[in-house]
Amino acid sequence: MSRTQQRIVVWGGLLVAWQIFGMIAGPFYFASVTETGSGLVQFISNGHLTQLAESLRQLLVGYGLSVLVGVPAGIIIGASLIGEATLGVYVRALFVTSLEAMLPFFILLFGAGLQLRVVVVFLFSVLYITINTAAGVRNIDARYIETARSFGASRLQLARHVIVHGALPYIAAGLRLGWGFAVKGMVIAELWVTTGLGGLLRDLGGTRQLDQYFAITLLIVAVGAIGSWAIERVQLLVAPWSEVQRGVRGFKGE
Amino acid sequence: MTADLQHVRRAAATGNEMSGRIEVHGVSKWFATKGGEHVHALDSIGFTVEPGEFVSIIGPSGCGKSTLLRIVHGLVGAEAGEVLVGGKPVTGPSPSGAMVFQSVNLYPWRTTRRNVEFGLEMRGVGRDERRATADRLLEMIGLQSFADAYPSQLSGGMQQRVGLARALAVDPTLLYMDEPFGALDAQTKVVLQGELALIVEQFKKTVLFVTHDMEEAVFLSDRVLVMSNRPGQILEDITVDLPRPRADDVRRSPEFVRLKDHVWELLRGEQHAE
Amino acid sequence: MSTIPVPAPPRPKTLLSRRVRFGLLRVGSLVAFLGLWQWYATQPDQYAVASPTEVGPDLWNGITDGTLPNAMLGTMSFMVVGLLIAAVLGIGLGLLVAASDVADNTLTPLINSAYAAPITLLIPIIGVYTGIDFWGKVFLVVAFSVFVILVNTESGIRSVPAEMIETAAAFCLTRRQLVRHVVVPAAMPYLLTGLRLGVGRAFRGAIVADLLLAVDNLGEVLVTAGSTFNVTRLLTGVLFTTLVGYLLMSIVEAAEQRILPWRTRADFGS
Repeated sequence: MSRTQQRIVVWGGLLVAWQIFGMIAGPFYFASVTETGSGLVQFISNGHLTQLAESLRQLLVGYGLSVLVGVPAGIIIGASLIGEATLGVYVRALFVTSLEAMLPFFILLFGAGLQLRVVVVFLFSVLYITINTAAGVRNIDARYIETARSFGASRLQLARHVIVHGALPYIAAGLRLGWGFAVKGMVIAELWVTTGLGGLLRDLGGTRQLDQYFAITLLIVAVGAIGSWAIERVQLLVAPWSEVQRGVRGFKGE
Repeated sequence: MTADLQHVRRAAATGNEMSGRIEVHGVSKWFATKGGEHVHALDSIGFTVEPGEFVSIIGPSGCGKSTLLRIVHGLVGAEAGEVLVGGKPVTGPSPSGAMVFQSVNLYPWRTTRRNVEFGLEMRGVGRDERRATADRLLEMIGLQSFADAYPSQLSGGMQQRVGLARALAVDPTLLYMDEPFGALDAQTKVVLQGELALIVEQFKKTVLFVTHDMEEAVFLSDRVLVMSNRPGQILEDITVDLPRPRADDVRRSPEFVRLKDHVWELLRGEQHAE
Repeated sequence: MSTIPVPAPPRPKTLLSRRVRFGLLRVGSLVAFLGLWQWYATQPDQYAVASPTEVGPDLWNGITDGTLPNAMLGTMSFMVVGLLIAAVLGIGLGLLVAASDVADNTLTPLINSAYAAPITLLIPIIGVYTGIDFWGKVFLVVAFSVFVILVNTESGIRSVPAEMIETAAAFCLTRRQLVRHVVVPAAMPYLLTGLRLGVGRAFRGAIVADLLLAVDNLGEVLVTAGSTFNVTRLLTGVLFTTLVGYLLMSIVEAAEQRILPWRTRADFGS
């Protein structure tokens, strides 16, 4: 059986199992496939798409900021001892700890509005982008640097022609990972202040309208997957020579 | 290959100045290990390479021959002694020299052509001129159809040809070669040695060539410097008086065999000392 | 080596070694950070941030009077249970998926999606199935940490070089011996990486559970301080949670280093 055939069989089987399980458990406990589908229609016809769009907007703003900050910060940390000692130490300290613990503090600092949500999205993703970029810069093969030096490359030329390219697969992996965590940040911030989609989810969960709840969950997971896929496409377009690095391999931070 | 070299002959006929005399005086080098100990890598090395000469450095692994090459090129500093190229002390990599690496180190994000252009680009040469030079050299090494391929699509032998073309592109007086054929299979190695011999004869380059292959050293060189174990010293400076141009049959001549045996005698002593 | 006396190597040119300079920079930047924090917190119109001179003593008091350690133990109690379940599940399923190509083809994409998906989406609905106290929190911890363990276990098994298995076959190892003496040791670095990351994730999951599922333990310290505008206790709680997380990761890293001394660390700054 080819891979596609295997997938059709197994995934189809899982869908059927989901449907049967949902039908047995009843709508209070689990939404079946068909219920989730009609939940999606209901979600859209209720005009909740604007809420999704609003959430996506803050997601994009926070993520955009984290790219603008994370990549340069990562290059500085990766390339210089001063950057590592003054910035890298804190980035990694934050990284291994729970950002979620700061939510009550952020509310005091930023209020419960748009600003808070953007900040949380930003912080959730920026650490991954920074750390991955720094790792990419640091892991550049020393022989590439020696070769450039032997041809008389200046520091600036080295950065532009060697370091940026050499670190690119890592940066792209960081961008993908960062996107996933940006989505996580969005969800947790909205659940925390119960606004937007988060507020809606709390309501739907409380009243056990699982059909719409499951539909929204699938939409959010799809946002994460589509963004990650798009970043991968862009990487291969910009750098056809590069390999797509999966988060797990070769990177011990996460 | 020979036909491809036609225009190379023309290039050589117009000629570049042979000002690249290398003088190495009393060079010593230590390495600091991670444990804080100091390893004595090179001990008072001294030799001279005349312009247009092909000199090989051969020695047991870990004797510091690659380090010595890097010191001469200016990639690595020495703790004692000095290196003069064309009468001037070496303080860093100079445009008159170019290096070919054992691991080739082609940039995976550059196409073959852009890899050959690399050195010229670092020197601020304009795009059209870079491209023309690269295409000419790619034709010479027979890889013009791979100009837009990435290094990962090339075989080891092809990659090393590109590495050589990249070094030749900047038109250096001196070629530093660090075991360039060390990672290739035996057949490819012999083919590339032949090509290299032709190219350096046509271009009249001064070559400093590091190797651990005795046959390769004798086949290519005018002189072979045999180095000892660490701390590396020069055991003997052997002159290879074989007629040029050398073809593969020279490998079977009695003089070639005698020289190779002599190098082996010297190196075998070092193997025992280890 | 030869017995010929070698001349003493010349002194290094830089005055301070890399390590010393790094340490100085680190201490310097910490001092600068604390100074900046103190300055910012003592600005006249600043009321949301407590200063280090307030947080420091409060942290000490909170630790000595048992409030913070008790809260931590409460969080740890369900975190450890969740982590153990996640480890067993993650390694077991990882082995299964790695052993079968069909499973790899069909399940791996789903596992990767689950790995990337926001687990917090479960919070508003899991109470009905698990309750929102102990087992609900255990479930959340498992969901946070199981996938990273699973994915790493699978990559570890799949990364065992074919030559190693071939060599084992040449020595006529039984399947059992092969797994025990070749596959497991070769996959061990990945497995431990998965467990280490799993601990980090489990901790985050535990904090999320204490904040969003049912406010309790460390989460209660934070939420109470936040809702009563006790900014000193709030920052103390954040700092304490950070320290606990850091300590947890340090312990796991040290354990990893002990189990696999032959493995060279690829991390920087260590």
